[in-house]
Amino acid sequence: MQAAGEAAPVFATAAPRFDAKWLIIAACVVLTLYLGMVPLAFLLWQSFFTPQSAAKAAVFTFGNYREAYGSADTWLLFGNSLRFATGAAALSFAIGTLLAWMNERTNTPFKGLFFALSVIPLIIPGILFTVAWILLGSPKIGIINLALQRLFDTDAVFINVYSLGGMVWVDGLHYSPVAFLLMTAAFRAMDPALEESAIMSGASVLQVVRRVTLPLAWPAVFATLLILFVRAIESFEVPALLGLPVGLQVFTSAIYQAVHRYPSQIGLAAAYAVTLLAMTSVGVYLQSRLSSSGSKYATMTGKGFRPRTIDLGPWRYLTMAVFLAYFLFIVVLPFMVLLWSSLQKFYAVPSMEALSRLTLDPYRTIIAYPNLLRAVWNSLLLAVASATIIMLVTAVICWIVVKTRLPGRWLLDNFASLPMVFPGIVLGLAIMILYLTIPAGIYGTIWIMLIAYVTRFMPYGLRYNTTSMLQIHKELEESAAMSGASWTTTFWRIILPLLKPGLVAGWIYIVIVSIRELSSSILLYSPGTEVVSIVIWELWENGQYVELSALGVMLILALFVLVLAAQWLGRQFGIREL
Amino acid sequence: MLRALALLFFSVAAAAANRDVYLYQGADREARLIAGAKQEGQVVLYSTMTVQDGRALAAAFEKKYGVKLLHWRGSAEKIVQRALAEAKSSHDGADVFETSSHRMEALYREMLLEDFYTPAFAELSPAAFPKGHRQYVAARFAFFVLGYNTRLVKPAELPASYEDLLHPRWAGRLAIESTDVLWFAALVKAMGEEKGLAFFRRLAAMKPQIRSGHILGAQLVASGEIPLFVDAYNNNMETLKKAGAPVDWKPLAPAYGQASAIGVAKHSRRPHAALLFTEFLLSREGQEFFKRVNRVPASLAVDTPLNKFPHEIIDPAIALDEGEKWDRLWSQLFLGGKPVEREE
Repeated sequence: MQAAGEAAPVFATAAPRFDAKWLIIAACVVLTLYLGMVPLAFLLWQSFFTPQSAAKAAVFTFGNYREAYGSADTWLLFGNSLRFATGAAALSFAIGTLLAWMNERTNTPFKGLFFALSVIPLIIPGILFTVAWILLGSPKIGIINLALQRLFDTDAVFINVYSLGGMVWVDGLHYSPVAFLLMTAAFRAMDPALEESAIMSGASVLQVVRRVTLPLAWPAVFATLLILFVRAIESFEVPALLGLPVGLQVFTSAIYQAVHRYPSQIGLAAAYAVTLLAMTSVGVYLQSRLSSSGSKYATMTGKGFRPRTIDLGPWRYLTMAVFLAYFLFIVVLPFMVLLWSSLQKFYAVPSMEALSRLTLDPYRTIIAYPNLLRAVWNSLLLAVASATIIMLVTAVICWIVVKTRLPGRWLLDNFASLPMVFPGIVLGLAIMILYLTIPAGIYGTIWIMLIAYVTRFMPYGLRYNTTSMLQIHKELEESAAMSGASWTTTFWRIILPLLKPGLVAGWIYIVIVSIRELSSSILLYSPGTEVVSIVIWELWENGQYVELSALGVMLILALFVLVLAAQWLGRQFGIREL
Repeated sequence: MLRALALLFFSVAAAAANRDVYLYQGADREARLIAGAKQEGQVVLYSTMTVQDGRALAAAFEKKYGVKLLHWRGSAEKIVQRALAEAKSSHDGADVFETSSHRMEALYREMLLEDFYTPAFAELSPAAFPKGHRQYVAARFAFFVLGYNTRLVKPAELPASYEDLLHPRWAGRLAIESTDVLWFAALVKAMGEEKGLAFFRRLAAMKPQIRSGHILGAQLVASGEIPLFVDAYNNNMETLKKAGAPVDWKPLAPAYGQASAIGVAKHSRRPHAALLFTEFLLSREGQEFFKRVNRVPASLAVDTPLNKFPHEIIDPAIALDEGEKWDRLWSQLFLGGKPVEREE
């Protein structure tokens, strides 16, 4: 507390009496630590025990670590995971950043339209996106291969999704919106004066990007790469559907197999997950070093600024072409595949024969699906509530981490970040067992899912806020305090509005991923608290792919409207000209 | 501590009372069961059956007895995990479980099930019963058969035996599901371990595509991605065939199947309703329903084209007692477990 006072001495003098500030800060810190610690403690504790069954009680052991790390298999899987995650993160980053830069920093025509379109890949459930790419890029039935083969009259295989390259491509594309959203927030809050000076001094657009824009956005770049990499490491669908058929297994397969044995080897899965925890901790620690390098990256100062765009001249048609290419190949193609299969009785390669079988039955089945409306309502409720809670709480946490000199604050950051790598099922189990044991009455209700969602997505909220927070210069809150504003007022009236780019981007992201969340929902839901992702999983398990495609199409359209609305609302309540 | 003891006492007492309900065979059995179930009002089912099937069954059950059915749908291992966690804290969870028989065997070993009796047993296939107890019985089956695309596989080339799968014409045209370790174990045991393993080694050398998911596999057969799916589920293939897809299926001898079994919870708070629903599902009415949704009923009284061939049901104990051995062999054969050692 003393250290916090030192960092912002103005507050200490301005608020000698009781201040709501401490209450808010304490509440946020306690909540974060509680949410982060519970699964962490469970995971570490479990990793030292043998599986429990009626016949054999659990005993203390180091065997899980021996089994997890003593075998060469693990390291081979780990190598595969690293290559896959590095590739996927790099691809997502490149695509997302390019789009964000074009959208925020250039005068590309029609770019306003593209924001909402850019997040579509994220909206498509992972399973569907992957299957859509199988149907596009399989060597045997892939539409792209079939079309090119007909065009060039050859049997050659042009693209093959069943390869490491294919996995990187599909996963990288799917998560490029994460980079897009994060980098959009970063670019939006960046003072263009520096870029303008560079242009005035005769630098080319490329030079400006390389020497000014990206270095200034370095904390955001780092946060984005961290989040993309860690997420790709724990990715499951793409490796299972594209890697397995050709024998490419990754680390998460080992975790999955451990959990699915009987008795369930939660301890072994936990021992595997410890590596992921360690890697994330290193990443978070490095990022905290960036954060503490002071106001180097803060371009949002007391001087008014308007993030103006760079005039690309005739090049803007090139960037528009890039946008169009992105939409055709990344958004429209998979969407068309979904639309096509949603109109079929079973999936068939497009042909005249299949065309004669078009039907709206899948849509009828979906609309009549038991509990669908309730599931949609629950999902919306959970998504909006968890996104809002997370963004507000992590804004406070991130203020502590970035703006104060509190010792050990990076640990706070770390605790809040670790849930990112808990295998979803371990997180679900930890929460389930905790609330079955303590009679809080929330087991079996929607609240337990809210807790799971907030825990699971807190790390993302934190990253989104951190990138924006780093760009806000301290002088802004100092002047507010000088003018007599309390901390609470400053936070509400100055910090939050300035954080808006990160807040909105993070909010949108969390809403979307909450609607897709499956691995903990599937353990924690009860009759009455079904969510949309469960329905998706159901349809997948039942093999109702055409119905699933129909739901996918409806979901994409609905979320698309939601994103547009959020963007519009953001404009209504945001700072003008930002 | 006192509370824990009290809880323990009540659950032991309740379990003993439940056993009486589950095994009662007096003349007034049916009347007592229905009256008790009506009083309990509802029954909670944890099952892998689809939500749509669950909904249809609930409607039929409620219409007949006025007892509500709440269906929680989860995958087999999630059902076990949830049941275990809930049992540990004496949470009022499932009254009835219905899922793959080897997961039911796990619930049985965890002592969460109880012996039960129903007159419907009389019509079930002998393969439906586990050895030595009646804590779960099969309600439906799924058989492993060849699934094939009728445009890509000519009738003449269709394999007549497992050996035929090793014909060079199938190199690169086969697919195998990535998790069918039990099918593999049962088949190897049937062929004699040495001969069986030799067969699978040669099968692996044919470089089959390894696919995760039976239904996805079946769909990929329909779309032409997979010409011949070695371990397809016949009900999946049949469903697609009925929808007009260019697919068909054929059992090879010996044909193996997996059972989905049903059992009542030892500590159920609603034992009458639990048994009544179990009986309903195993009775003619429930079994006819399975037939309607293209499942293979366990009852021999219900006629279906899906079991008209000699078949055996895989012993669920293999999964639990020899699971690791077969997992390892399977992984070495099909999942690239072996190359790991070669690289060192």
